[in-house]
Amino acid sequence: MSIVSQAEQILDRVRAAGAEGDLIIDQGEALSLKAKDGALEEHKVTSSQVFGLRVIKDNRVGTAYSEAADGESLVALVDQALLNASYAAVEAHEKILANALKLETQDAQLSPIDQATVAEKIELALTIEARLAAKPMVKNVPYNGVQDSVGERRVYSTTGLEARSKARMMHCYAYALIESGIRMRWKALARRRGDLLSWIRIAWWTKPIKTPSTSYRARRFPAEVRRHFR
Amino acid sequence: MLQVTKAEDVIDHGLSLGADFAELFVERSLTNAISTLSSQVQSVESGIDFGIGVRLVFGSKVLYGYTNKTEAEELKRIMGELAAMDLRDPRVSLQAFDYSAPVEHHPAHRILSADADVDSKVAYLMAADAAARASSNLISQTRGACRQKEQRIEIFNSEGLHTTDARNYVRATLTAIASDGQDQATGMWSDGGLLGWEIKEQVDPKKTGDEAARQALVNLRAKACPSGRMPVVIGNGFGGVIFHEACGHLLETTSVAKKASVFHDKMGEMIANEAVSAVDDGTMANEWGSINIDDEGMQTQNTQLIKDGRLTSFLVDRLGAEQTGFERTGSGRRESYKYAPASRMRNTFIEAGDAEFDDMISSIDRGIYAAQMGGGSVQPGTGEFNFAVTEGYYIENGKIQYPVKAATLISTGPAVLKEISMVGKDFSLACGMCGSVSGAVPTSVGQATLKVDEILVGGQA
Repeated sequence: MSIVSQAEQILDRVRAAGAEGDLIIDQGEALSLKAKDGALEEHKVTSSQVFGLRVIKDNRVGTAYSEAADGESLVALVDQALLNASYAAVEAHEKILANALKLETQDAQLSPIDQATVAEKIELALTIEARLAAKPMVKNVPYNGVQDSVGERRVYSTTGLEARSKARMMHCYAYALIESGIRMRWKALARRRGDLLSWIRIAWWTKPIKTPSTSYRARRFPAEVRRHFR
Repeated sequence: MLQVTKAEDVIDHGLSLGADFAELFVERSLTNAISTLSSQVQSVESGIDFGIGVRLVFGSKVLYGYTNKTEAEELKRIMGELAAMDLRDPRVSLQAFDYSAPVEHHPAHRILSADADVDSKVAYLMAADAAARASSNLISQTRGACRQKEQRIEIFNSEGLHTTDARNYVRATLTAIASDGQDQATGMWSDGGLLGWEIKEQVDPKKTGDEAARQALVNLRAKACPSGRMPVVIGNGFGGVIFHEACGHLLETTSVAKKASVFHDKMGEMIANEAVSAVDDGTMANEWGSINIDDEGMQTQNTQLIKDGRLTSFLVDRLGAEQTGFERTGSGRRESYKYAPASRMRNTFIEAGDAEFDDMISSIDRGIYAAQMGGGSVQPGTGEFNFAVTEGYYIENGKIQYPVKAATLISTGPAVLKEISMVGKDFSLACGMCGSVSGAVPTSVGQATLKVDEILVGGQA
């Protein structure tokens, strides 16, 4: 059964109970890499799907969630939210807005196809740590990582709202332990780009480190990167 | 929860990538949480957790991922991304699954999938609230919570293991706040176990309310605690949190294998006063930290950690056994499918002795009786700790004098083990949630009242 059909089934059951409600369905995939002493300390691959439901009946609000998508679980999701609402205090001001809009973001813009392979991302994680660890006065690079995730959110309501947005986020960071104490050396954030390796340049981690007494601050991205944040 | 043929297909795929070991951990959990405040229901929340954890082992390297989806293609995709840098020719073949159901040591009856029993739980919390308020007009507020969870798991691995288990947890807590217009103090009481809501036949909401209120009222009139090195008598039940945090974690192969524990090379040696024997027991019927099987599918057991002061066993999971050479103890545990298993505690306690409480108190010229312990912090590896005393009394000339507040016990686990000179008879367990590398798992701590000959007490006087 498609996600849309599952959403319709859930909201039909809410309406049949004489309630109104809205439903959020989050789906995602993520890769998380962390390096330690030249090897991967963390290599986590995950994917997720969770249904979150809010119902309002007799001005009482109840919520429930389900990570299971089988029919029995989705029926239980509605029944639990209704049961929970029956114990809630009356809340006169919480409403499901009369919003029947159909909204969608552009996947090509916010979630482009990733050209980099997992092996290349692992290589990036190891290189970030190695390059920074090789700097003078750097004892080690205890916190670092490369993360790549795609998240898709769908929102539906009993009043007819149908919204969907999908976005890819990539994120690299590395903190170095300097002889005189912990100083943040680099924190790099990247998002909304398909090809991580084409513009996260290892050269950024090769700038000379200043004296230990200097307070290190995250540097700004080059202009061609910054414009992607706007 | 997962078709056997699908599990077989996916694990076979993992082995085809060159893994030495592949495992699927399937979990479906129902949760229900009720909270009360100001003698009213504040919220009722519930949810369904479902997911599959994927573990691949290449030599000494462990790779872990998870998903909420059940499609074989998605599970294989995760395996493929995990093994991206380790691909090699197959080393082992899948052993045919041999299903075995664990022996049920912890039967539960009023389970969440049958009925959330919300009315009954609300009534229990309201009765506890009424009892606390009835004990004194200085009780200004109460906060109640009742949580129930039904966790069903299914484990498949490439060595042919296929097993299932069901775990039912329930816990009810009341916190009371006492106020005299100037100062405020709190007290808390909690009951729980590895069973269903039938626990309400075994626990008394009046006792819960009375005990929470009593602690709050004692603390409201407590004086500043003296500080310095002195003997301390630590109460039974949750007093065992010090052994759990400052010693128990040092016996897990998670730290032993890395030689990060001060006990890593002390097997067979005296590490405690000969008055001390300690165990980690997963078999105790319906206790909060008990299990039928661990999260790697091994039957649980009663593990003697320390016998008459001598170190006799570590807590060993599958990976820890490979790294250290010690036999597995059924101690591989994890919070959920989102975590790879690690060696963890179950019901961990110092066994009862034969000392009398009055003898412990009368043996002290100047010291503290820490009747109830609270939270604290521990340095992993060394066991350096500080813990708050949530109900304490000053002892002088062999007699309990008056309640004290803001006391802190500061020492190291290995040092305290050698300073325990008397262990009483009043053994009891208490519920807790233990956080570590594989998430938060239910564990019990426990002991009889015991005497530590010298420990640093932090106070304000």
